[in-house]
Amino acid sequence: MAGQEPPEDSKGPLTDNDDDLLPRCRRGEEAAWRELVSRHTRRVFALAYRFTGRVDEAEDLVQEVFVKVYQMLDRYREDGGSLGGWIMAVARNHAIDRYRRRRQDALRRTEEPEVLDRMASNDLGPQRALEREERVRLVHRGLRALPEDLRLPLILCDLQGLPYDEIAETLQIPLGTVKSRINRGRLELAKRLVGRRAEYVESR
Amino acid sequence: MDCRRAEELLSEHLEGALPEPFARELEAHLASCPACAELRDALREVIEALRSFPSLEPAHDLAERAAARALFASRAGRPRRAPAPTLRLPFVMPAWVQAAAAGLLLVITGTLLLVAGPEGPTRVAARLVDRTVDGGTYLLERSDRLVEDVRILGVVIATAFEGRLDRVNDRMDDYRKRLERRRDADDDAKKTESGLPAPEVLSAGTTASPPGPPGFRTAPPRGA
Repeated sequence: MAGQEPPEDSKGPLTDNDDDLLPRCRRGEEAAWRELVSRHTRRVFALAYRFTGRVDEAEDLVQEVFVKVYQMLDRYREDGGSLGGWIMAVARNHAIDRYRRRRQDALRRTEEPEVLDRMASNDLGPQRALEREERVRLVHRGLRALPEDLRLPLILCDLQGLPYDEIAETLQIPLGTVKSRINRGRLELAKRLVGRRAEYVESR
Repeated sequence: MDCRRAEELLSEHLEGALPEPFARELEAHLASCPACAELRDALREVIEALRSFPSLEPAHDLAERAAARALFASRAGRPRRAPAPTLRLPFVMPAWVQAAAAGLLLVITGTLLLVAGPEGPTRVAARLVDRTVDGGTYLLERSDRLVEDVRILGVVIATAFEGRLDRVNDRMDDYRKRLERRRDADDDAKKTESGLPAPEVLSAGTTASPPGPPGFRTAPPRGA
């Protein structure tokens, strides 16, 4: 992903040293658990928000993730990577599972993703900002309408910033399939954009 | 290069990951095909739009809510604790099942000793099996008596705590008589069942001796 700015969830938390907290959490110390959740909530929320595009759904997802993390804490092995990385992997897998479970609901959903109300646009002129906002709105609406096999790789690649090989591993599909699905997903959205522009030109 | 092939390569080209011969060929196609060039521009905008997804700070109390929900969920289910150092059964095993299992284990051990013992079949192993089976059977058959014994013991101790020593003596006398009645009943039962005289140790036992598995008390000394 050349030239791509690292997304939120790939940045480390303020402190990544959970060595002191882990054994206390495993012993059932509630204060230690609250501290651990507090350290990782920001990253998990960023991931959840990218998956859902809605604050309320993202908050639900965050809570489900930490319920799962708490239940699975004994399964984490220190030699398998940092606890933060493990929590993010649990979160990502849970988000994917949840998305697959609710796919039908999502396809039926007609409401606008909240994210479109939050687009920062004051760095552009009013006209260009409007165009950009319209474009982003179209792209995100199109993303939600994509079939699952195209949508998930695209979220993981362009919204989560995961490299292709990690996407392949996460979704359990071959690397070549990942690349072609990402390309097809982007092309679908690009064609929607082109089609919309054509309609706009015709209507004038 | 046709338009379909160009579409397949566009993403990789925009990421700068397309190898040189393909990139040159694609550029040539894009220069001559306005539709594909428009698609490339739109694709660039799509990628930019996807990657400009805004980041949001979580609500200030989200961490607290998430931590509390996990704790609540764990209390509703299995409380979290450090991995137990010993094996814990997921249910309560009734005492008689434990006794039967232990007896069965001893029987198997004894049988193995009989079959594969270092000196072939041994009388010690055979006796071990016999006594184990006898003891287990006695415990199972006479569990009602054990319960009764414990209850009487509880009464005796409670009386002693009240400082009524005369009553304690009375209770002990009652208990001694009860044990005599049981022994007589056992003797009668054995005579009627097998037609053989009762084991000599039982008939010679003192009245104050506590009840116990006959198999253990009638056993000959080791090595006999």
